[in-house]
Amino acid sequence: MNFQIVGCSHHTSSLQLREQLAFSPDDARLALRQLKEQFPQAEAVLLSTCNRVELYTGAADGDLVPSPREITEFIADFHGLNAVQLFSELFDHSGEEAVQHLFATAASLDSMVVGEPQILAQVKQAYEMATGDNCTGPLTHGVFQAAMRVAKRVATETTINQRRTSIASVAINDFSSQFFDRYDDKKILVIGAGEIGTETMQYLLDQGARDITVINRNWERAQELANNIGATPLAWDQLHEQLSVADLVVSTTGASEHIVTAEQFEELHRSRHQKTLLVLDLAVPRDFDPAIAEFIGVYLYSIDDLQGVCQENRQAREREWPKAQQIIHEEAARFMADARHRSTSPWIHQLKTQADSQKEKELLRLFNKIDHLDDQTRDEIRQSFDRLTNKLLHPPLESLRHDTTQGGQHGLLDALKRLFQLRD
Amino acid sequence: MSALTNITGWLSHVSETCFTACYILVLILEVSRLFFRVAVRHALILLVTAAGLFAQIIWFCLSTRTPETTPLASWYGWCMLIALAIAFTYLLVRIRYPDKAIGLFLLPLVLSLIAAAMIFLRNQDPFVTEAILSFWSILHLSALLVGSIAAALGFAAGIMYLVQAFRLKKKLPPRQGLQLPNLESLQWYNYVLLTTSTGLLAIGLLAGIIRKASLLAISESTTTWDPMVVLSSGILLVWLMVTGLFEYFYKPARQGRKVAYLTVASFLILGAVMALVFTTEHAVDLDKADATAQASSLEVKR
Repeated sequence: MNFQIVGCSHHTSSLQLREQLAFSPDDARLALRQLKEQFPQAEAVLLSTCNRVELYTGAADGDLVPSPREITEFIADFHGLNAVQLFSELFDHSGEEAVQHLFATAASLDSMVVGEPQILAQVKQAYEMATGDNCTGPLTHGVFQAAMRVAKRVATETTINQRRTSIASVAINDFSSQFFDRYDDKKILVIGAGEIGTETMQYLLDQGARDITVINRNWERAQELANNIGATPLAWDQLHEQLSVADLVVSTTGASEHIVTAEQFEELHRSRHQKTLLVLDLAVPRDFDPAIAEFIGVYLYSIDDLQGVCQENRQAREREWPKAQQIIHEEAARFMADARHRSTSPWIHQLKTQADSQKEKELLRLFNKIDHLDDQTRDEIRQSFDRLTNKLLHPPLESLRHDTTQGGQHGLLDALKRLFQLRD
Repeated sequence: MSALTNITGWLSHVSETCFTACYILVLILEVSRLFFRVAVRHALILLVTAAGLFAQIIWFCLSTRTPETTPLASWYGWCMLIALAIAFTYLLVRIRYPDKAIGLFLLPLVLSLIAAAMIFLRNQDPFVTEAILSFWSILHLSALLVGSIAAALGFAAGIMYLVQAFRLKKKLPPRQGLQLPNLESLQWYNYVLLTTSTGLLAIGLLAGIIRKASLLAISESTTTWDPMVVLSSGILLVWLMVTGLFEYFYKPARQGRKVAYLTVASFLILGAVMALVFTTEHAVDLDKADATAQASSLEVKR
């Protein structure tokens, strides 16, 4: 059995290289087909996300798997890159190390935001796509299904994916949830059309928000963003009017000074009748005057407040890290032991069949020579031969099992094949 | 048959101490959430609370064997019934929201009511059963009872809102074991409980006034209005009217901290009014008046 991985991730490569090596879903299908043509006996799964490009290959017979060099050349050829330059950029793992890497990736321990849940879905998609294109086999089925099970085990037995660490997810899931029970009846105002604002809106939509208004100084950008997520774009001069009716404000502009001062807010505050307002000021420098936090019913949080929680969550995750790693090591070791054990099964079966055949021949010869034996005596002799065969085979087979669970380092399987002349 | 007798005999030993001990134990378990995590605590809390409720219900059932001790026939039973209702609400909320520290706010209320009943009201004269079986009496007592339960629950919700709002305003991180419901839910509970308690207490008071007025009319002024009861009822009535008008005309009173202040104030005023009523012979007077009224109506018939 040989299972290996060649690829790059955010840990080892620059964004530029990852972009060059990225596969779109159509590209991934094409690449898998081409790989299958070049290496018909190899099983393969291609995982391509914004943070990693990894090509997993394997086969029950180690000799049939393309070498890491061949895989690197294949990736370089596919993207029209220079293979020689790629050799130093891509990493490769094989055997238990590769299994551990896949398990850690699926469990989101290798992600940029550790514990983020999307990676498991991406691993599953990559596996399903490869299966759909007949590129998988017994080995990849086993290892990918085990990876998904391990990811669930890590999620259940540790709290590593329960604590969020991105600003947008903390803003909505950790802060906003302490104010609001539901979002479908809330008026949400997003000021600015930056990356954090877009990500925050995505979390709000996931929580069921319906009434989202986007206000941006650049009207086209506001319109574009609003159209993408089904929100309402409004002109900048509507800002104060919208602030007087909003329940939740997410502000992410790049303004160099406050866009809402305490004096301006005082006028708006009267028309709000002290209705609860949560302002998530995610801009640097701040968009809202900090003095606004003093108004009754107004809860103003800046990016610093949120970063504190992000940091705490990161630390909490770090405390869970050894426990998650332990699960990954345990499961990878178990998977490898099972896989090795499965790989010895055909040889054990062949050895037993060979022994049985010899036993039957000897019994037949004996019964032909001594023809006056009654049935009871024949049974006694047969059972005696059975016991003898089993007793002779038991110690070598037990040693072989033990050797395979230890990684087959003593080469007993090869010895067994040579001693008993076992052949494919 | 003998097994049933044994169980009945065993249950007859159930006293106030049994359910009070259960509620104290649950409160200790709730407080322990602030300091450490134990896997079985939630199940233990549910089990002990259920045991406390069972003991209190058995205690009530056994009490009803004599007319004087039916739950609604004395201030003592009345207080115990409010405590039972709050404890029951706590159990339901605990099942629905196992991670929220609602017990820290509801259980002290339950224990305070039980303690107040046992210390101040145990030796008070019970109401006479015949007197509380008239329509206006039942309406008076039951509306005041349910209104008081709503006011007590509103008080707990109000305190929770203020604690949560303070924490969020000061940006304090949530302490382990002190997770509270979000502000929107707490505001909704406050508003509903304030409206319910205001309405029911007003109905209860008006029913009491009508009953007293009708008794006075029948008994031809053999009894009079107790000045302390009139004063306390007046205070409560004025407060309820102020609350209603405040809510209707002043929009901020329907949301945020204002509604929480109102629910807390409502409960405190209700408590003060009840304390004033307990110092009078209100219920006893009521019964005597009933008895006199019945006697005089019999004489008229003859």
